[in-house]
Amino acid sequence: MKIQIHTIAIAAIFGIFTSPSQWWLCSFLILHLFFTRHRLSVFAHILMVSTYLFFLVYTPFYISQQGTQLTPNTSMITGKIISTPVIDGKHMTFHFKLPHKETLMVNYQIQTEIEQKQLRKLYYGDRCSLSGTLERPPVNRNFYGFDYRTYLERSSNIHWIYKTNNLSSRECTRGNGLLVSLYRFRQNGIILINEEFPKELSGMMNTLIFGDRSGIDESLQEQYQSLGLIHLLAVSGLHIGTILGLFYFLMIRIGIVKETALWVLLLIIPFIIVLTGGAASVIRAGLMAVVVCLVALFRIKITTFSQLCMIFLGLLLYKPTFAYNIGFQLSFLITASLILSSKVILREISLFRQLLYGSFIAQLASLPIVIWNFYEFSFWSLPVNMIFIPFMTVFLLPCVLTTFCMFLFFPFPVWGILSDLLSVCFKILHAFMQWVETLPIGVITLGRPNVILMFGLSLSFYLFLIAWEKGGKRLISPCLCILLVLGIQLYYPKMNDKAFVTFLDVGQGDSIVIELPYRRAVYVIDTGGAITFKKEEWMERRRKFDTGEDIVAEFLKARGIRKVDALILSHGDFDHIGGVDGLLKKVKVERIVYGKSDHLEASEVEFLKGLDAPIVFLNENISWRVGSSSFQTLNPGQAKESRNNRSLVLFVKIHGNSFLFTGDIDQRVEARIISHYPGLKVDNLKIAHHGSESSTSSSFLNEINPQTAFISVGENNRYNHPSTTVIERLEERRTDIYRTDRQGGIMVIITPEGKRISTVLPKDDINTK
Amino acid sequence: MKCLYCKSIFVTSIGWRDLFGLDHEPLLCEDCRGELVFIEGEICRQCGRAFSLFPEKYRQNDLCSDCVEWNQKGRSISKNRSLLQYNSFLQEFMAQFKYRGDAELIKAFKSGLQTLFNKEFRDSILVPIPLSKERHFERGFNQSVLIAGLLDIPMLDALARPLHEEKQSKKSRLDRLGNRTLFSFKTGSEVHGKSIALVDDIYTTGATVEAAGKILLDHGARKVSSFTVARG
Repeated sequence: MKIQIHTIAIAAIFGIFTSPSQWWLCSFLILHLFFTRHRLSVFAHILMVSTYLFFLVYTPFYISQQGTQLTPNTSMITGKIISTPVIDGKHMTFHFKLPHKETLMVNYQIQTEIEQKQLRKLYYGDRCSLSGTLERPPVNRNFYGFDYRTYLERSSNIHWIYKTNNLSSRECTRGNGLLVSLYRFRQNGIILINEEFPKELSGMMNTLIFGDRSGIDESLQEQYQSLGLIHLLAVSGLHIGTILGLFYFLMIRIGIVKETALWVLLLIIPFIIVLTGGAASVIRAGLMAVVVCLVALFRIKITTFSQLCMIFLGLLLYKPTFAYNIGFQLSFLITASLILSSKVILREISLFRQLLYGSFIAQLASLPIVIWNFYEFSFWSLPVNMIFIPFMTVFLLPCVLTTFCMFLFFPFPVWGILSDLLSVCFKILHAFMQWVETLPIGVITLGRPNVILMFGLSLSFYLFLIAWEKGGKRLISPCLCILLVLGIQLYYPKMNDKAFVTFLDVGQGDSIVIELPYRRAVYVIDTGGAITFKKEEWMERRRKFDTGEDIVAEFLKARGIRKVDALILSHGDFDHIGGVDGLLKKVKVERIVYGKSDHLEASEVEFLKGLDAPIVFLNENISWRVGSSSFQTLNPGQAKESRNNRSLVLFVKIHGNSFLFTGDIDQRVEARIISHYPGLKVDNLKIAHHGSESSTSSSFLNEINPQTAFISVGENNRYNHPSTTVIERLEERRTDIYRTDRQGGIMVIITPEGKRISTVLPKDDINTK
Repeated sequence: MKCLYCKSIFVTSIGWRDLFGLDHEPLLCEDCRGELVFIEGEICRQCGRAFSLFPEKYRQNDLCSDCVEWNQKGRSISKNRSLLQYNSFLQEFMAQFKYRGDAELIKAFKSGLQTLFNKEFRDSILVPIPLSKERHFERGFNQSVLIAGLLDIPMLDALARPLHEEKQSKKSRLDRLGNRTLFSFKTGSEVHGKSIALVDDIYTTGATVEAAGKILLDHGARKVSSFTVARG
């Protein structure tokens, strides 16, 4: 029997992902070998096992080969820029290659608007000497968070961020060579389009021609993302295919022989890969095109699927860390699925059905990866894709390319008409997207499934596709399988008796998420908030970081939380309420709870008025129960107090474990609480005011006697929180201390039997001192 | 891959079932597979011929007029099922297989025959139609044994063909229907009370399997059916 190359590709991918912490992945290989023991020859099995073992050893070897040779105190460096520099407000970044082949990420803070303009003249290939300091890229600090350090290492072998303080285009010398010219052409093209075309068109044009998405509004990109259309903004196989198809057609039309035309295509493919930005999907599509041309030229008999597998293996051999790239995963998975389903798709005669089935299969294939990474999917994604894919590839993309070519080669006003027409098209398209977003039952948030459910989901999709391919009417059982897995994912929290209290790391600020047993209710206390200073227009970043949107809402989505029963805002300081708008934008909030007082400041009233949710005001000594969990407010009282001291203080008891959430109260309010509520005992104390010296008095600690203390505080914050005196007070009483600046996110898992604390960054006892 | 029949190089489009080896790889190229006509849809309950390729006027409910005729005379075979329609392509194909000794060809039908057998003859034991000694020597193999061998279940060599005579394919319909003493029973073969599936390459009039079936029934077989690659 012949060797089936896809079995080797499967072995390779498992080899890469198997690591000491994920050793169980090898069971998939064993299962595969077991199920195919009668089908495949011994030789094929040996080949699979050796491929697996090869990648198992090769991946860590490859990573260690790419290690750093720099020491942290390196200050002067010389090298060349090897990426198109990105300028985003005050921030400029690019990849920088040193003579010993190591790559750095260079960061520079632009000082003035004029400087910003001058720095646009830095290009790929420029050689510079820089001075500055090395920093390790930040690690992930929150549950389900994004680990920038690992990302940089895996995607670009970058181990250091170099913060430079002297950067100017005049001190750099221009590089030379074909590649440099291509990159310069691309960068200039992007600038030219931005300058010459209307704003609503230039962003899309740069995306479609040069694979540069930076010109598209962040919120528009999010819309593309949530409707499952983001692949249209990535240069993909469809895209490369359309461009090459146009070229080929033109050449044949003007009378070039097929063979010559194919050779010409082979020559221009590398150029297209560079010009369109060289993302993983572009490389895949480009290489596919190369193989297709070669197969046609030399009349090699090989299936498309084998071609894809060979490219896959080749790329993994070149760089095994490609396997971690989401674009790479999606690109190969979707292409493979479409090829494997070609029987099903081509069985249909009507073009509409072919399109329907094709889009459906692409959706299905990408769903596991989409849910894992983005925790949700949109039901409208399929119909919208069916409209957008043909419209984009058959109409808009050729039009955009023609407009750009006309712009380059013909004088005004021919391209002007087309560009106006295209602007209108995109406006209509985006208005349509906005309308779809408002439709009901759009997005369904599933949360990140665990590995078993992921496997179950993929398996039921596979069973579904097999049943479909057979053409039988036995689609019901695989459909039930899919619904069962999705149902378990949706309703598992409702059956789980564990409660989760999570202290999110929002930097300097508070944000706590309480999930009650059986998820009877989800409460969020505060949202954090990064303080931003007023900026001039040129300083504005494309994407503003927002703790509510980027940390709290992301965490809630990853947990599969679709609705927050109450957002409790302890008080009106920015580091507690700064992220409210961002959170409200992303997650449904039933009500907002705020401390009741007759002395609210004007700014507080204004802030509360602007919120798009019903507000409930609570003062002290109000209790309620949800299931077996009880809640009681202990502050604010009647007296006129400062904003901090009007903080809503909440006493919570879940499965016999008590928590006290204190906001930013000081010693005075602490004293009032212990006198008003004598006999108050607290197991888990949220230290008030980020560990400020004026709070957490000895007498308070003596009275409530906490076992564990949680300090929500920013790393290296300007207030020097938490104060050493507070830490000493806690240590004297042998209280276990958890700090978000040291441990990142902290999750308390409460079961009827007891509690367990899990942290994002490891906690060792030396660390807390 | 090389097509087993026309020897041209071909590639197969791969599907989901092939991914983990659930499907058998085809041994014939796309073109050759396109020439094959599988018997599907409505068939004659007894002789297994497809009604779709058969004039409607010869049909009587779920039987064909041939079978009605057979039944009047008394019949030993309870049913026949065939995989393919015997068309000119298959005629050439079988000729290459049988007369030109390309024994490997029959493997192209392995999975099809297995599926059909499992559907129709699940608990039967296989008895291949024998060849006379002379014919076996001349051909080098017995095609029925090769076909039965594809099914990976034990077969019973219960029959012998003592007479060497003209090939069935060289005789007329009446000639065929006339002869009844083609086969002899091999003494000692355990057929008593068993359900037997006779295996042959082609079913045309049914005379061969009918003759064989009668002998097996006479020796105590409970039920005899017939299983062939092609239906003439």
